[in-house]
Amino acid sequence: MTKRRSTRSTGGIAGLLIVIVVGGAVYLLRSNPTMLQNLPPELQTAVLGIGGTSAPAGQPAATQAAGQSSTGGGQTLPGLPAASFKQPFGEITFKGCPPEGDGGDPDLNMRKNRVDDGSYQPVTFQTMMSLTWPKEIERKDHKNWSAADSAAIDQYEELPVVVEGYLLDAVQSGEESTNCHSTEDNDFHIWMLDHAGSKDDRAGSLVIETTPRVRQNHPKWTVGNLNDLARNGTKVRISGWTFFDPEHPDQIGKTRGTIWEIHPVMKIEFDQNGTWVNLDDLSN
Amino acid sequence: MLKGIYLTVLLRLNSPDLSSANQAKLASGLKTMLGSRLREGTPGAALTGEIKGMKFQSDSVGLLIRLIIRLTGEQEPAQSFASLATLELRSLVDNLLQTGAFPVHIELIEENTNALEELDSDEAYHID
Repeated sequence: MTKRRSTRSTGGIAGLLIVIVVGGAVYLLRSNPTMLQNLPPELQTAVLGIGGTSAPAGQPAATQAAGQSSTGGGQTLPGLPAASFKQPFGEITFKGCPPEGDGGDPDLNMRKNRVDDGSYQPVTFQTMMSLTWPKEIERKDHKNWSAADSAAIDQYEELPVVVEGYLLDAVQSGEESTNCHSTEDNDFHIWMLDHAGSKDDRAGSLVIETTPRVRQNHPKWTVGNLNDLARNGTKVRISGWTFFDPEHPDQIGKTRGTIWEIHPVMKIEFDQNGTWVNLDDLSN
Repeated sequence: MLKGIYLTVLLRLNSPDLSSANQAKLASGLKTMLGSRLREGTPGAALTGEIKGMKFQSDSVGLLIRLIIRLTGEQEPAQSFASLATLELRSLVDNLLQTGAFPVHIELIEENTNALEELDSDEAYHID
């Protein structure tokens, strides 16, 4: 009896020690962004997901929009992932072009050029279309935004999301500072809607963009393949990072429904007889 | 690296009340002469280009010609192509206007990051 009690007691102490050690490690990593950044993305996500979902130190915490309530569990806004799903950008220099591009707004370019994968959370098309922004930051570089305006955008931006819908059209974008104005390596500008449609339906669309930095690992992500999905009215599932593009407000109601985007796109899947198939696995 | 850029050029008409016949004549002449100089290349860096769109627009002051021009040329990746192209195009247009052939002056030259959508969605742009 005494021996059994002693074994139970030893097991309890060991369990307590494990909880203390793991908890201490998580606390240490979450309070030290530099250490956190050195972990692989999946471990960063795991660390941030243990013991609550508050924003990691060193990143602005998400604020709650007026009139909207938190759903609990660290959910920033109804329908959006918690701010704790944010992570430091993974960046590369691509064919001599640095992540900040060759001019323009370097903060904007760094966001467009990130290459890291995240833990993508389901978000509806309508949620993406309902995201707001302060009018005064339209057509302004990040360096000219007020702290309040930056916080207003930050609550929704750089969240890893996965959205279902239908592609309308895909084209190669014009040259821009993001890609050092390269004539060869440009973003693909893709229009997405919550129902099948055509190019004529772009006024209410969500713009999603693939970048050459990410596309180098996805040879099947061609304009032709994307437009096949659009033409066939195939349902798609798009994973990527929420992004606010202040440069195109005049196009709302013409060629887009919002200036919120998914940019960069990190994963493209399509529906095949009720199963999601990665576009990378498309048979020729 | 071969680079490309879309630029908006706003030219202010010196006379605010130009007849539509004279507007058409001005647009045609500008298209021909500016187009020719763009094909030859800019004075410094020899960037070449073409006019992608042209339209008249009015504001509270008077009449403007709005051009969308695409330039291409070689440059190191990380160097600012927008700065180079803007300076080069200003120089080229300045040289053209110094001939006195066109009653306009430069109001603005800047990168247009929205050019393809603008050209696609605005039927007022026309290049014959």
